Amino acid sequence: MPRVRARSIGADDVTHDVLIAPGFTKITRASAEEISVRRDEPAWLRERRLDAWRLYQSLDFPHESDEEWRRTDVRSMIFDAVRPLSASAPIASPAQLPAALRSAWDESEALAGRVVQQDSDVVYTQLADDLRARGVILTDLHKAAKEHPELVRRYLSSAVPAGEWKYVALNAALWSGGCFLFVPKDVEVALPLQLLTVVGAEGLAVFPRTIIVAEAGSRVAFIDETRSADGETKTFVSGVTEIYAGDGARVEYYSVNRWGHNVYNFNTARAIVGRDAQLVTMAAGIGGKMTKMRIDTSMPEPGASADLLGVTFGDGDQHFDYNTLQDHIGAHTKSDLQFKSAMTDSSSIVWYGITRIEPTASASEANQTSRNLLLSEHAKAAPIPILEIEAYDVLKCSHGATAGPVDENELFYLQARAIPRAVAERMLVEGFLADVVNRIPNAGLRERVMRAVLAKAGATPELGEDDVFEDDVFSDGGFR
Amino acid sequence: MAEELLKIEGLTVSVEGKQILNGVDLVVNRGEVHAIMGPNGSGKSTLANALMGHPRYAITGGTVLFKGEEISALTPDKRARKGLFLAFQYPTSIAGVTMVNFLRQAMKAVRGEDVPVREFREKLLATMKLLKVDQEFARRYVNEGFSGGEKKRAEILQMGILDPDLAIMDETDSGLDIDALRTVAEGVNALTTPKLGIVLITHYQRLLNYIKPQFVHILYQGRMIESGGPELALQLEAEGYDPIIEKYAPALAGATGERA
Repeated sequence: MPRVRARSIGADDVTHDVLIAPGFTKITRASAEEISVRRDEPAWLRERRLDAWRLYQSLDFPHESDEEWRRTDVRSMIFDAVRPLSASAPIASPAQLPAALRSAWDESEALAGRVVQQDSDVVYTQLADDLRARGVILTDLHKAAKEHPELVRRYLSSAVPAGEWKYVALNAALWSGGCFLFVPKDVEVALPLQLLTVVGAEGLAVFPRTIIVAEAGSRVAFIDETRSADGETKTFVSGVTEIYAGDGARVEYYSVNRWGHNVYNFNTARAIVGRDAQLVTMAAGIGGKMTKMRIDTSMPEPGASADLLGVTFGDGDQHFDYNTLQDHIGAHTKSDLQFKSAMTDSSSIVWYGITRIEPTASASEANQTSRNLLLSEHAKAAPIPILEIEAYDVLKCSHGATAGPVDENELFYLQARAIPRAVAERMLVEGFLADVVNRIPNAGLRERVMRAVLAKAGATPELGEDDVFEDDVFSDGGFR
Repeated sequence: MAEELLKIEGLTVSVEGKQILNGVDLVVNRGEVHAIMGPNGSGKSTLANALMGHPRYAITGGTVLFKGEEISALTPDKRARKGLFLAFQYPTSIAGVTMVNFLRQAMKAVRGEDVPVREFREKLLATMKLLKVDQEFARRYVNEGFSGGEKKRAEILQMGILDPDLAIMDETDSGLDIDALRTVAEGVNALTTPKLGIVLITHYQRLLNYIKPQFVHILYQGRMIESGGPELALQLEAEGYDPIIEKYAPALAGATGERA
């Protein structure tokens, strides 16, 4: 079979069934068909996959002159060896996950429901009975397409169209497993729901797909956590997340990337935030060899608000590249982006973030802050804030971007209080990132993210101790 | 005979290549309170920062003996562990690090061993009460969003937790209204023990109404130009710096003391 390099393929070329994906010798149109057949999918869904495949074939790779892509050149990445599919049998309990992935499971965590995807398949789904009774749907996307076709047809590829870019089209053609969450009007899901995606097989291409629909007045927090062991062969991930927050709804979406060091991770997440609705997103970048993640928030209706958080700890030769868009369309919309990173060794991070205030978005407020701590002379950070203001009466529009080593005055201050330099540095890194992590409303997740970050920093997490301690200090014997 | 805590001889200090201190001498014994006064720009804060070991302040000459040991080459944390304390004029704020975590780490570091929770709690609560600080204070990030008065009280709180032998207070009175000044001064007095030496660096006499020094020194253009008892501060309050400057540095008079 010919190896097709990453180049433009004209639409005329795309008639033959065996045409393969550029850079992927084992992924063909037949792969999309195989997924569809194996899942016994309805005709409309099969058609969508094949349409997406055609889009994939016809789309160019982003050009290096494209500002969002010039720091992460995907055209040079060849994923010859990756296979598009694997088969995993359902499991009765997460205890049956392969040993290397079992640690990803935290039994003690207070959750209202979980979905576990292993490689290409969802192998475990659980949802609290009372939520099910109130109409909440949490299931894999194949099942949802059969049982709730009207919902899936409406929301699949609506926020993130298949033709958006090459790997999004590839996902639309090849997604497998996937997660569908639907929260009916006014239903409040008090505890978070979790999607845990674990990849045990090496050399796989994984295409996670998540749809979150929160109807008007509902509330839900969703944790999207990914895990794999550090493997030898390249693993390719192209994920898409679509979030629909209805009027007055509150949706929290936490992406926790803990992929192994052999994973090339492409992700597109987009939220459409309704009137007076609130969105909180967090991108926690911990694992992966390379991560290119897009997080877009569209606020087409008045009164919507979005808090966009990011925390990344890079080491080794990890590369993280985040693109964000805060799109203000409705009046009185508000967004606040707070991205922080600590980068060591020869790791690198790019953040390219656009705030767009459209002419209709009068009296809107927006902020972008990207702060990057460089812990080694070889670590790099490129924070790039962009403001596109088209409205006349913006209330506030601010941005700030910094990259540099630990502050000398802060170090001196801690050292002047007897704290040795190494401990002081660790405290400063921890504090720097905790400032963002502490905004996660859920205590369990907050601590887990912080522990994962600190473990990379080589620190012994003392977080829990401090929490206990604080309570301890003031719960008795104080002057309350 | 009084035990000598600090002995500075011929100290010269440069900041970014520019010499600020031109040979400072000072001896502080246990139990003594010294005030160092001087117009802005005379080198008061430079002296404080150099003694604590700020990397930007290079000691280029002279000796600094603390408890008989030369400390010029020691890192700031080692100086602090020996019992030296600096209350900063402009305390740094550190987002993400809570006061309670910071204070506990500091107490652990100065002791060189873990401090039992109960003991730390008692010490913290007692010191906070003394300084009239709300308990919420401990949960906040270090100096983050603190008012001027809160920052200065937080400094004295740290002094109470660290229990130093020598406390240098760099313009602890600046930016405080009279009530806040009184609270801070009362806190310092309550923490004062016969073993403690204090160096008060100040521009104004008013702090000295609350914390009484036995010795007053005038620092001017990087040199101690005059030393005396408390009456020297009162004289300054009445006459300003000019008469003393004119007396001791006639050649430079007129070009000085106006940088405020």
